[in-house]
Amino acid sequence: MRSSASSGSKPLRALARAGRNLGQFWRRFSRNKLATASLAVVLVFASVAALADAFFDYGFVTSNQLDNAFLKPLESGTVYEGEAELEHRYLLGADNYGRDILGRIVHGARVSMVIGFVTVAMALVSGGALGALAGYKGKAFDTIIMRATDILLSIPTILLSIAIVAALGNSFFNLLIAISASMVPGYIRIVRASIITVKDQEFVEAARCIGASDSRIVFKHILVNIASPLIVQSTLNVGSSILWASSLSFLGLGILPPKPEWGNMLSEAREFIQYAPHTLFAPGLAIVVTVLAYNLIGDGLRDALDPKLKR
Amino acid sequence: MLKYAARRVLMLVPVLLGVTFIVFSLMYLTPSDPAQIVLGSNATPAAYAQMRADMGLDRPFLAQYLHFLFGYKHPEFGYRGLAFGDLGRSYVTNRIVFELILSSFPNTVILAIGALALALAVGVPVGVISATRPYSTVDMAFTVLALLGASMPVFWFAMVLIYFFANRLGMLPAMANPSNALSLALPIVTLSMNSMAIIMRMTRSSMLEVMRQDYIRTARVKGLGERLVVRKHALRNALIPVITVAGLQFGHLLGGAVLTEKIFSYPGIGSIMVDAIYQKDTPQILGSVCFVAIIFTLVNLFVDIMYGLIDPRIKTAVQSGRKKAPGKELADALKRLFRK
Amino acid sequence: MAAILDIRDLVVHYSSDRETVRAVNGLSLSLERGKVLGLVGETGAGKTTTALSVLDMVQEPQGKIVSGTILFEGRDIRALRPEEMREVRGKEIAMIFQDPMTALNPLITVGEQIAETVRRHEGLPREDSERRAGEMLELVGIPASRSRDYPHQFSGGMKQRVVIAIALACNPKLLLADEPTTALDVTIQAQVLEMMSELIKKFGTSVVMITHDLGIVAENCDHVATMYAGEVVEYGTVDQVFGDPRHPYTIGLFGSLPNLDEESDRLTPIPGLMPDPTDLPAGCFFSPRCPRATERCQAERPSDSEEGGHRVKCHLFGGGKEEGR
Repeated sequence: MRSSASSGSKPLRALARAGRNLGQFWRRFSRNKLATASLAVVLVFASVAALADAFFDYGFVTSNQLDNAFLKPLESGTVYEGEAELEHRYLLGADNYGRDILGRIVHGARVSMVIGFVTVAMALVSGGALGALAGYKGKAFDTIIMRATDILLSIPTILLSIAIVAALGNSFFNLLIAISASMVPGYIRIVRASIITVKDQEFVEAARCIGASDSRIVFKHILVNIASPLIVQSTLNVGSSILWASSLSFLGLGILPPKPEWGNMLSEAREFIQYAPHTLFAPGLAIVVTVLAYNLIGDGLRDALDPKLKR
Repeated sequence: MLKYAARRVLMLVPVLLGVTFIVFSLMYLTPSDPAQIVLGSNATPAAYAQMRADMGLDRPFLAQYLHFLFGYKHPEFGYRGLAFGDLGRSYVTNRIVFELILSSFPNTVILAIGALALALAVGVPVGVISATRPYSTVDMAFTVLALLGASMPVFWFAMVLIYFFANRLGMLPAMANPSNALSLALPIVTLSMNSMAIIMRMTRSSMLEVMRQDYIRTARVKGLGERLVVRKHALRNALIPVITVAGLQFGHLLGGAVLTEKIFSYPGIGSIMVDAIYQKDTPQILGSVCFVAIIFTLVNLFVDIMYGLIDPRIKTAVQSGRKKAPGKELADALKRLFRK
Repeated sequence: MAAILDIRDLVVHYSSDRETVRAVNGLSLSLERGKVLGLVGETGAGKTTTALSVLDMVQEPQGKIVSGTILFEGRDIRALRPEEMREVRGKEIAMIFQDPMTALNPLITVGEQIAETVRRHEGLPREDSERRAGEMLELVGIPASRSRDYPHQFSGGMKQRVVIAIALACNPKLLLADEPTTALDVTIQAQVLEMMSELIKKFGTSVVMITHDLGIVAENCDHVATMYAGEVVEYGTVDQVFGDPRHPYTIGLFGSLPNLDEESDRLTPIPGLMPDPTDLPAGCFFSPRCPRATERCQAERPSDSEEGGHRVKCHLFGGGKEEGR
């Protein structure tokens, strides 16, 4: 609320204040050891995902090396690349087609990160816009949008996603739509609720009285106030998006092998649980660690961004 | 009270119409051709066209939607419609759609009840322990465990359980069947994990909130022991939102057991849905998805009404016909939180 | 006459990892048996914290009694074990809280909320304790038949009557009443207060009456203590303090009240605000707002000076320096 006091006339001072706020925010966030550690984990995973090709060749992790099927972790095997024969050490072992599990996890990380961020961005933009429309314009907009949200919420999330993928066909883009569709109602509700509470507060009235235009009011005053619930929700959603994507891929409705994805790796591992449990553990742990990290960061952000909480 | 319930049931109608509309539209968009599923891939184009006409698939979208709701007349492919609980026969198995749904649904209910009972039996006491020692080591450990439970993919957890308890120890079967109680253990544990985490967190935050209330201070000032304060004065109040959440979880367990049922090859409604989707068996998909959505909505409605019965404040408010019941807003907020 | 309650140099802090709120700073008080002491002061002066300290109910881990002694009937409250303390709470010392709307458990009938205290302390069987609850309700002017009702079925004034019934159910020796009527409508306030003082007289209960309403003090109390920033700045009988207020803060309090006997155009509020309890001024805590503050006041904390039981914590008094009043 303070931030609306001086309206951008002195950009330098605003920048300094933003820096100070950021510093204060970081001090509060970093007091939460679990959240800080999780941030480190996420950053490491993100850099590994970005540099996936530097660690493992995409062609290598998607091509079969049947001689090496089910190699145990740390075992080595001969790998054929065109004419060349190479000795390769499988740090986490090989799967049923002799593909390097670590390599597939690394490339799978890239897929998961992309899915996580793109779906959340899609849901945030569309849900945010609809929620803003419902909350700010009210009346008919509000009724229609909120009824539609109620309807979407009465279909269990996983069914909705499955039905969307089934209807639109099995593709990467449709997977993104299916996952983000299940998150849209959440954003609509957050944004609408925040706008309705903020709308009638005095400082917005005051802004309207001095003749600020509608869209200016929305963006300047309301956005500042709803930023923190959206940031928290989005962080948590990145985690659940990754979880959903792997679940759908596991069911054969998302990303299909040989493309590396954590869920479809587990789907393949399923048939060999007894025979080669190492194909089961590593991809699952990758999902757990990633999702847990996002959840912990979300928790940490919630505490750090809540001005009422002074612990 | 009855009037209130009746009003809520009436409000369901548009929601259910919307649900069926969305599901139907999605199936309408599906690229698969039912005629091909029925006739196989070796028929003549004319035969396909005739079959599509027989099945009513050459009609406009809206007409097809109305058929779906209120029936379609045809000697072979006719049915009375969703409104009358009849969607004809499955394209693939040729069994009556709702017969299959109704025979498998009780199996899903068994799993859901078991999972919810386990989630409550563990989640509530652990949540209370956490809340009575906030920010202690015990609390932190439970918090991390709960988050872990919420972060674990259900299907992976299930496979790990199968690996250890079925493959390694040979204690429990890896396939589940409603006629074998022992075989239900693993799917119930799997299914309850998520709800357990949510119920635990909810109990904890609700308890913390209640322990800050003035009436807890009053109870302490009376000289009551801490155990009595927690059990008699705090827990009852704290459980109201927990019961709401548990009810909503039950709805999720009924509809969301897809992965669990699939992994344990359990003959529940989730398996039927996924199989129908794989086989592009439109009537079976429409029937089962709409059925689950309706059940889900009804469970939520039931939770809302139950909530009124548990809390004496709302009970009187509802009986005296007051519109805004105290605590109703809290319940709504909670539902929003946990419906995602 | 032996004091029923004797507080010496009480210091209570609330601390988070960033700052320490010094809520009570060396407070001393005593209350004679069967008397009513009015504890007056602004919001945030530490009145409620003082009362909670007497019951050893300052919430850990944030709140902590740092030092001082609290003697109840000569026993050191702070030395009692938790289970001994629980015997005292509700039986020998009872407390009434400010807000009756939130003080009662919404899910338990009012009868049970009274009866459980009786059962806890007098070991009565359920039936007897329920009968006692009915009697207590009658005593505070509510028909016993309503003991099966829930709190939300009562109005604010009725709830406060129930709270009073709970407090008096075991006939405590000491009652701590924390602004018992502040949350009520003005018309109800008088009724509830009158009923309460009748009961106090009837039972011979000693009372600490926390309030910021000087009118209540004048009508109901024997002694007055004025609190400011966690200290008692003036203490005396009602006659002493009302007839001859000495501390500039007490004088200020009277100045900010309308006086029916005198013709005056406007009230004189005390300038400024209570000091930030995380950052108390050096010297006298009231010095920044005091119209008569000197350099000494800003540097040195005043000590008590007493004259015939009338105690004042101010540099203007004591040490033979009683000048310029």
